[in-house]
This record gives sequence, C-alpha cells and structure tokens, in this order.
Amino acid sequence: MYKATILIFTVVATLTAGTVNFVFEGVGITPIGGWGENLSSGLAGGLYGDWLFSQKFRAGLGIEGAVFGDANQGSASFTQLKPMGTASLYLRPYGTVFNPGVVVGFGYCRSQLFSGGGIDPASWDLFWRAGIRWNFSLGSPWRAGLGLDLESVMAPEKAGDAFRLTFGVSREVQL
Amino acid sequence: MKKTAAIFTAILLIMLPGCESNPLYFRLSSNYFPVSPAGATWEYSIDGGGSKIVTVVDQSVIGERPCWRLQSGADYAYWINEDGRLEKYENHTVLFNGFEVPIYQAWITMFQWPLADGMTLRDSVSAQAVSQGVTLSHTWIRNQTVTGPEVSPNGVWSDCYRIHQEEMVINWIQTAGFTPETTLCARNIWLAPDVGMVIMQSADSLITLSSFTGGEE
Repeated sequence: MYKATILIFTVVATLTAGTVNFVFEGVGITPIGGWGENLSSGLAGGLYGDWLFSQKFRAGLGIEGAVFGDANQGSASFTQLKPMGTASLYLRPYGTVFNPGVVVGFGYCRSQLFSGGGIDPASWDLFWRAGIRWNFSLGSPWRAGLGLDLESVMAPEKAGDAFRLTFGVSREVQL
Repeated sequence: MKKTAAIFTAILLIMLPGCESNPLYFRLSSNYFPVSPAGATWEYSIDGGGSKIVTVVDQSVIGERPCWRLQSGADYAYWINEDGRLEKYENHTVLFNGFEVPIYQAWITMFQWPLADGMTLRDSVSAQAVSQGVTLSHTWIRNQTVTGPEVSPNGVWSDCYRIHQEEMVINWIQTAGFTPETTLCARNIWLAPDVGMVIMQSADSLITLSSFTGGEE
C-alpha cells in the first residue's frame, strides 16, 4: 500500500491544476547484456502527462508498454509494463528547431516472459531511465522530440539494461 | 480529468498487489545447458554407486556444422548450443543379424531457449532402413514439459527449470517372427543456470551433480 499511496498522491498533485504536456512516444529498445540474447529488439509505446512547473522544468507520470519477440524465429516473447514518474529539463523551451533537454524516469517495471506455450512468473522491479531529447516544433500547439535513453530494470541478481531510441509527439493542455 | 485520475489510480491499485520481484533477467541471461568451452567438466554421482564424468573435449565438425565434442567414459557426444536451441547429433543404429545397421544420422533439438514455466516441446523422428532385404523401422517421440523456476530437489541449486520428459521408442524389424518393440521412458531433469544438468531422475536411476568446473574461454 505504501507504493500505491505515493503514486496516488503524485497523480492527484499532477492533475489538480496547471498546464500539462501530454506526450506519446514510440520507442525502439535494444537490450544490453545477455538477457536479450534470445530476444529481438523491442518496440514500445508510452503515454506521459507532464505538469509544467515552469517552461523549462516539467514532471509527471507516464506508462509505457514494451514487447520483444523471439530472436530466432521461435515462439518466445517478452513484455514490460512500466508505470513511472518522470522529470525533464529543456534548455530552449520556445525553440522551434532546437530545444535540447534531458529526461529522467523512475518507477516500476513489470516483466514477463512467454515461451513455447509457457509463462514465467512476472517480476516487478524498480527501474530508472535517463536520456537526452531534441525537441522541436511541429506547428503550434504540437511539438515533437527525438531521444536516446539508457534504462535499467533493477531486478535481483541481474539488471535488465537497454538502450532506447524514441520519437514522441506532444501537446500542451490547460487544465 | 478527475475521471482519468480515478481510472489511472484504479489500474495502479489493481496492478500493485502481488508485485513480487524475481530474477527473471538473470534467468534470461543464463545458459541452462552449457556445452562449452573446452575443459568444462561435470562430475555426477550415481545413486547406488559409481560416478559419471562429462568433459568438453574440443570443437569438431559434424554434418558440416561446427559443434562441441563432449566425452563421457569412452563415448563421445556432439552438441551445438546456438540460435536459441540446443541440438545433439544422433547416430542411431540397430543391431540386426550381427550387423550394426545405420538408421539415421541427424541433429536433434533437445531444448529451445528461453525456457519458461509451462512450456511444452514435442520432437519426433521416424526413419527406416533396409538391410539384407528386411526393413528396419525406428520411431522416436519425446514430449517435454518445463516447470519452474524452482530449487533443485537436493536444495543446492536455485532458479532451476525442471524438464519432464516422456519418451516412446518403437523399433520394428519388419519380417516374420518380429513384432514392434515399444519402450516407454519418463524422467525429470533439473537444469541450473550457467551449470546445466544438475539432477536426472527416472524410475530406476538418480544422477546428481557433485562438482562442476567451468572451462577456460
């Protein structure tokens, strides 16, 4: 319940007032290390709501789902579901062509393996993510961003590290 | 927005109970049946007395495929562990009228990676050969079910997968006086991460790993 309480308070604080930047990201994920040896690179999609504390600094919540296929034309697949808190800092928030920024995320990752008709027990682990973004305008009110992240699922005995290449579109909404 | 927040919160509350962590990424990155490098040695104790030592000898080429050669006693076995599957070279022969008649030579898939609880595998071979005017047929069917992860029965190895194998072999010398000979066999094999087979248990035998030495890369 402790984890749930923190998340609920964060949700409520985020949604009570202000301007929220909604972001949808499509992601290509490449596992680092042996955990992805029998898995292909993954595809992910995420939806984020970031409250604008200022034009430069924003923080909020998001959820991302990722799926990995079998690297050897077998029947394995691997899924990740990541509810998380995010924070980002952009240096030129009104830049139409070049608005560099950094993003961090921290939350839980639910990982599950499917293979040959079997399902391994799901694992819930803390994870973190850090990356850079190149944000630009698509014409008001839409913006887009390209990014590169490093993330790590802090599972027991062996972390699930990965690189992420992202492309996202966003729009600010007054609440 | 309040409705969205309520839905989001409800989803989180549903998801959070039972949030247990387990070494899934460790299992994914582990090799559950290493057949290399050269020098790796498994020493098994056989229930009722005796021991069995399996050693990776060297690399070889069988059927135009590079593989690892493992020695156990005077016998050699050839294995390939790549592209998500473990394969073993089978050279099946039948003794007939004093001659050893080759029935088939093939790479047989033993396991597919990654293993997962509830995974099922079915492999089969059906082959025949003619010797001295008589057809010799051989059928082999194996069903495997994976359970785990679990601790090995002797409590030594964690994050093991248990493979339950049921094998049926039908040999038939198709001439007067012979009928199909059917053999059924069931066994459990526990595979430990980065070690391989640690226990093999059947109705009449129990083999337990007593020591393991990884070879040098």
